[in-house]
Amino acid sequence: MIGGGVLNTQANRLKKLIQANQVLASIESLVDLLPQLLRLAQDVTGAQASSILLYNEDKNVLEFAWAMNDMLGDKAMKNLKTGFELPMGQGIAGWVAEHREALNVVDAQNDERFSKVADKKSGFVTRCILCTPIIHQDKLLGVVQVLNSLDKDCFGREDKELLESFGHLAGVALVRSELMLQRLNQQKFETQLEAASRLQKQFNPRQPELEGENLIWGSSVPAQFVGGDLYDFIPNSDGSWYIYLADVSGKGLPAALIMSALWTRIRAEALVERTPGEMLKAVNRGAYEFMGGEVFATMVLLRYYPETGKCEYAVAGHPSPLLVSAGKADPLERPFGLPVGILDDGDFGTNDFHLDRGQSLIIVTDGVDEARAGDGQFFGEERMVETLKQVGAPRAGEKLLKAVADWRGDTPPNDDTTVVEIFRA
Amino acid sequence: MGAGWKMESSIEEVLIKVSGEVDFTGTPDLRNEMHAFVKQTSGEVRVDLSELEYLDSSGLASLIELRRILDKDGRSVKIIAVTDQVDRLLNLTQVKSLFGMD
Repeated sequence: MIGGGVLNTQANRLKKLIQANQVLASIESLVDLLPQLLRLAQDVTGAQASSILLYNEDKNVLEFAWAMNDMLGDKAMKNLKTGFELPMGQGIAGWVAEHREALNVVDAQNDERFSKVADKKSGFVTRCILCTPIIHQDKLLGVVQVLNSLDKDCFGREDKELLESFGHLAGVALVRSELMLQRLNQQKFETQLEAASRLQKQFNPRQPELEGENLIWGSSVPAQFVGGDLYDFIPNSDGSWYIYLADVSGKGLPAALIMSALWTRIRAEALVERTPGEMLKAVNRGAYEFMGGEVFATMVLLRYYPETGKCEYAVAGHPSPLLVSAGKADPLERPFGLPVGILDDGDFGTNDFHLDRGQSLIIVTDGVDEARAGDGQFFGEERMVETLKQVGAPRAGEKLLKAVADWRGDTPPNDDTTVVEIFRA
Repeated sequence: MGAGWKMESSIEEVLIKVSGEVDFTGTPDLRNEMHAFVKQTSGEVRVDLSELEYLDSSGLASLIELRRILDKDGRSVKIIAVTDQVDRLLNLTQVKSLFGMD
């Protein structure tokens, strides 16, 4: 029967630890977590007061994060909570953090490691301290300490073991709340990206209303929320249209920012109705300024006359447009032109051709031919040309995108994917 | 995606060799390494891409930027070897002349 009392106490403590674990598991934020941690730490060890210090890795110090004292009023507590840093190795908590082992100090006032600063600030007299490191996966997160046993002179070995176990629980809880905080930030960021994504779709132009089956059509899908692909249809006073497709190097937000600046620049330059080569020269000069040498954009710019099928075009380092009709998909010859934003004063040639009735002109970005299937294989240029030959005009662009989507299957797109089609009925 | 890239360099020969795969995730670090390299050298920087399996547009942009930085000091970049994939990208973007090719 001698051991009965001990067993009973152990069972009680185990129960307390399990309860503590349940409480910690249900807490959703760091602000709620710290006071709860201390309340539980005091309960399981039967202590008058407690505090938790979190380790600041950058500064290599412990920072007072929360203190609790059932013996003191609010004012004294406020003094304790504000701006208190403890260098590693200093005080009991500093010693525990440095040695990464729990410490049971039975006579605090006569222990040389004990710092009397906190007592002086609060008016509390610390009799004994039990302190344990909070470690998670070998990483020091902080220390938790309890002061003055309620029913004994000092804490015992079992209290120490209990607080050590509690330290592990606290470690898991801290890491979990940190992760939750990160997830929350991530969610905020994604909300912003979704808004940006909606806004970017507004850059896509409306499809011009042309007679009969005549078509000027485009589609752009970013690989991430937002992307660096861009196309636009801008009407001119003589009935012709500027039609372009651009691909800003890189992906995601940086590319999207450049893309919107480029869109504005091109709209402004389009007011002066010039040949595509002259217009690209002007666009390039502006782009060189805001691209800052870190990015570039490849482009195809056309000036298309729907009435006659006449089409002038210039190319800035972009893949050739393809002329598509039944069984045929031939690349246009490219006049020389570097991508825009590389040189401050580049020259761009202008070629022209005639879009015959029943023909489509297809322009794509590399998201089309570089689309990957589940096994990593590229859709590829050859397959693109074959697909276009098979589907023929009109609506070759839509059908090409369908083929690319089928090729990709469940694999997420690795690049922004854009297709523009001009069909002459 | 991407197994990542590796850069070897020789200060005496003013030579950089980039191998592996460079996409937009790897470009920022590559950029820093190349910029650090050119600071320690003078004259034309030669770039060996004979074992670069993949280069995306952001990686190409970093080479173009390098050229621009060097150009300000009257220096240049010469690409001395390429893989098919890189050659295709350089052809497509018509930038070979910037790197002393063709």
